[in-house]
Amino acid sequence: MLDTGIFFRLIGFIIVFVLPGFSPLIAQEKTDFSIPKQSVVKIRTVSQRPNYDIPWEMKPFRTSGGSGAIISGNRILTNAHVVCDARYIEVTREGDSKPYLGHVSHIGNDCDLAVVKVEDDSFFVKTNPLPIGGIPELRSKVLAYGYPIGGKRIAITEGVVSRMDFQPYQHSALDSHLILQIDASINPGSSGGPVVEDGKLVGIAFQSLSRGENVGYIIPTSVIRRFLKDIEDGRYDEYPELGIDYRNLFNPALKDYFSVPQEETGVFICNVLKDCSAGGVLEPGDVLIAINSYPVDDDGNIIVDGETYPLEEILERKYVGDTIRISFMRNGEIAQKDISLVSFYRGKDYKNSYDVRPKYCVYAGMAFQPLSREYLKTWDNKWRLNADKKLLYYYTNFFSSGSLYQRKKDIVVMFKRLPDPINTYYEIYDNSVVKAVDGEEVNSFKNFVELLGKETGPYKIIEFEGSRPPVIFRLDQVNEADKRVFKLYGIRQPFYLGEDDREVSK
Amino acid sequence: MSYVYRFIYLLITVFVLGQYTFVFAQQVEFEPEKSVVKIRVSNQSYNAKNPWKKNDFRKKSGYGCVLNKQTILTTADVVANHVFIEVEKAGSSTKVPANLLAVDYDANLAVLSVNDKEFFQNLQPVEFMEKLPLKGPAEAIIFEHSNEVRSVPGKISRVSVVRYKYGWNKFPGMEITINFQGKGGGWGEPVFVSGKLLGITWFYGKNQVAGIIPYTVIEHFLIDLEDGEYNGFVHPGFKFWKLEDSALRSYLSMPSDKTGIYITRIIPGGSADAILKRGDVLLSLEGVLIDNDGYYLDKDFGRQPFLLLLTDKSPGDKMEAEILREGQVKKVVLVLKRFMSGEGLIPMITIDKQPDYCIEGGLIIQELTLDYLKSWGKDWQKRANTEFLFYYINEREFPKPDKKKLVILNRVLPDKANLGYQDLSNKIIVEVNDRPIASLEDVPEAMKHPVNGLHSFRFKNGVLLVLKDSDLQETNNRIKKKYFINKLSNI
Repeated sequence: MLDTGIFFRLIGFIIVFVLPGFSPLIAQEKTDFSIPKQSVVKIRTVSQRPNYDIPWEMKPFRTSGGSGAIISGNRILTNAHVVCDARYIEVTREGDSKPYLGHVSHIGNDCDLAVVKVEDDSFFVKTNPLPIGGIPELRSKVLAYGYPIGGKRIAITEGVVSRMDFQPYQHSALDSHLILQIDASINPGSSGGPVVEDGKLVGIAFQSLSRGENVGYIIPTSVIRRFLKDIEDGRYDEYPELGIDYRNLFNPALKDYFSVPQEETGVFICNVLKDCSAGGVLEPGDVLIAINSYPVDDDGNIIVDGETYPLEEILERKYVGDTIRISFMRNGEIAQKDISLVSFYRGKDYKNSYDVRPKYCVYAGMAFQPLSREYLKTWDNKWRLNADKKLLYYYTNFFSSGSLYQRKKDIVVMFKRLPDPINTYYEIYDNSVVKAVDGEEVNSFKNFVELLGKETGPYKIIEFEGSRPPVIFRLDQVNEADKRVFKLYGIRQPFYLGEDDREVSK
Repeated sequence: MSYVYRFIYLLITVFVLGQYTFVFAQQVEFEPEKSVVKIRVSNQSYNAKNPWKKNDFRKKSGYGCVLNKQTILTTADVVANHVFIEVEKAGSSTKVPANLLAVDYDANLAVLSVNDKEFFQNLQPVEFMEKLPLKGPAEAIIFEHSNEVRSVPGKISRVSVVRYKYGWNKFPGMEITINFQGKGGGWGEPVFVSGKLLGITWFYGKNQVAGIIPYTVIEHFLIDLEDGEYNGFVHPGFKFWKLEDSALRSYLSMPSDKTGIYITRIIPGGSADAILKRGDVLLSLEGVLIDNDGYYLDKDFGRQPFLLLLTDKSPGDKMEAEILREGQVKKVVLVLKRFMSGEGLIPMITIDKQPDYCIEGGLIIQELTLDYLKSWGKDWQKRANTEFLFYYINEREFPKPDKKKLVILNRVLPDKANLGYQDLSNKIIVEVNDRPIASLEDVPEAMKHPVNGLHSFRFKNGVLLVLKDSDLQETNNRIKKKYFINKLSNI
């Protein structure tokens, strides 16, 4: 579920990685945990992230460690954040130091899960695939297996399931799913390790609360099963998104306003994203009263099997291409409609992104890229406070109703000037947002690059949002300047527009 | 009025009133204790987040210069949000109440009067300099603990155009390097050169630099006040950008021998409204050439920002400007206007004033101001609501007919009537009862027209909030009582 409202949730999570270089400690064993132990693997990943500050270059590679669980079909289940952006993956079994080469078979960054495969099948000899269990009861004891910092060998921690909640998954930052909280601490390196109850996998350890002590979060099997089912067809389609913002209907005056009888419950829709599942079906001002025949309460909750969930839980159990039926009230009339579910492709730049190269374009020494969370993150880890306020505004308001989202696919940012005589006086334009090129409004990054390439007159006129004068280049000087700039700054490719610009068609 | 006339006027006053110690005009010995006073102020500002409340009161002290007509000059900063002002003379601990006669927060100047006429016995007005010096020694006058006068030596370092403490209007500023020796400064300490007033300090910062409001600005302020009607300083009414890039200059068909600045934005209702437009190049003002950085060559002060040309102008004055528009050189006339920093989309100055607000059904509705943004604390420029900051950075000077101010929901005072809305805060209100809201006055007007017995408040992001008209009055009374609010609206 994409939740644009959680942008500024203040809980700080840490994603659990380990860097090598700790002094070895021998784990002491007390009980026989041998069966699950044979199903736990250690994963070493060499990964490399793009540098959004200099998007034509990569950051230095880094090595990190995590854990994984062997499941049926000679597959290793782990966290997406353990193997994302991987250049090299090595897996080892407990008690056998021989490394095996692994590769990512499927990755779901929105649910922080990945399946890793090992080329050499002999790796799986003498291992036991862990059967996947259900959702443990609150207060039940579970065991977390993994390779956290502090030692080389497997660590087994006992914990009690203390809470089940809908929470953001920090890996993508904007997706929330069901989460189980256990009172065992999950330390760097534990990530991807199985959490076991009665010999069955009941979760994957994945994040912890940076401020809390002994608070660990695990991904429950409902999310795991969904991921495994989604990839059965060989492709991960992600979670479908409704694409609505809604608010509660607690206030009787609000019900009167929407002509909803006081005994009826529901939520009112403030915003609908046109490229999402509900686009074209729901409208702002509609009151959503039921989803797949589950009545929606005044706060947006539904009751499924006796448990209360946010209404997005329906989507948690669905796949792209599935259909759901919604009941809603518009102008006092009840209507029912089927919605065919799609994922929200356009939300990608607003999440943390992995395994993609940043789009960019360098023109006359001015470097442009579409606004993304990754670019804002180049400020520092306090980017929400420190990043350029104008860009933060565009970022946080992009999806709001009546906003840019309806008009533009991308916010194009002039993010850097590579000094050259042609742009000497355009220094203070950093982080300006492009409005138009040669008088034509820019609505996507691709469209922007196309407009730059067009020859319409003696000048290239780039206009920006705000009051600054346009940036003007003489076309007869641009080619020369480009050559100088590319050579001087080591840019091999003047632009990169991404591999797929697939449109989501409904 | 030149210094000479001013002095003759003073002499006549002295003769006619006859109750002053006679002072020889020609060779007055500099006696700072006779023209410098200490000002003690209790101030109390309104709380921007809780606009019906005042903040704790604070005390401040500063300095004043004795003017003729038995008035005292100080910075507006010293008396900002005053509730009580007292003045003290050198060498005496007697405190005499004073009143604020006139103030201009943009120009950071204020004039006080004292009811007790005896206070001015033994005092004499300061004399102003006649020409601004570019460098040289200066002395600031401060009081020691026992109210003994002490002179602190300083050195004039720079003349420039600055924004004084409040607002966006720019004024000539002088800087001196001076060491107040840990006592702090910038509270109106008068600075003299050879016994004549150079100006008063408004700022004292790192590196022992004090900012001075030069006497030229003070004179403009005092002369303006003389007819009892204050008109203020003028604002150019446009924003501009440097014009250094040759491709941009050639695109604008600028002849190579011309220089000027690129006009980026016009303030509605300002000096340049309907006269200049975006894309014009301002080449000269009253025949004075403006360079590509926005500077001109001043005969006394060298290269200075062109805004200095406007500082001795008054509202209503005309200024001929030469511009380049669509490749053609044109002459236009700017009719100069005042533009106070309280007038923009986001008022920068709301001193001495209770914020406008209204509370309806527990919804605290008010206008976004700089003071409100500052309620986010020291780091407000980072921590305040992103949308508010966006408007502050980009639009604060630009009110529009349909958006004169930003009307916001501050927050909701929880009550059973506003169940379900209590999480809403810091949102821009777009419509009330389907009527567009351009300023706070529109809110009570729109509230007169409930639709089907309901009041609806629509926010910028599609969020809606509805209250019942039938029990609104009762709710308001309940909230007023419960939250100890003395009045529910101040518009």
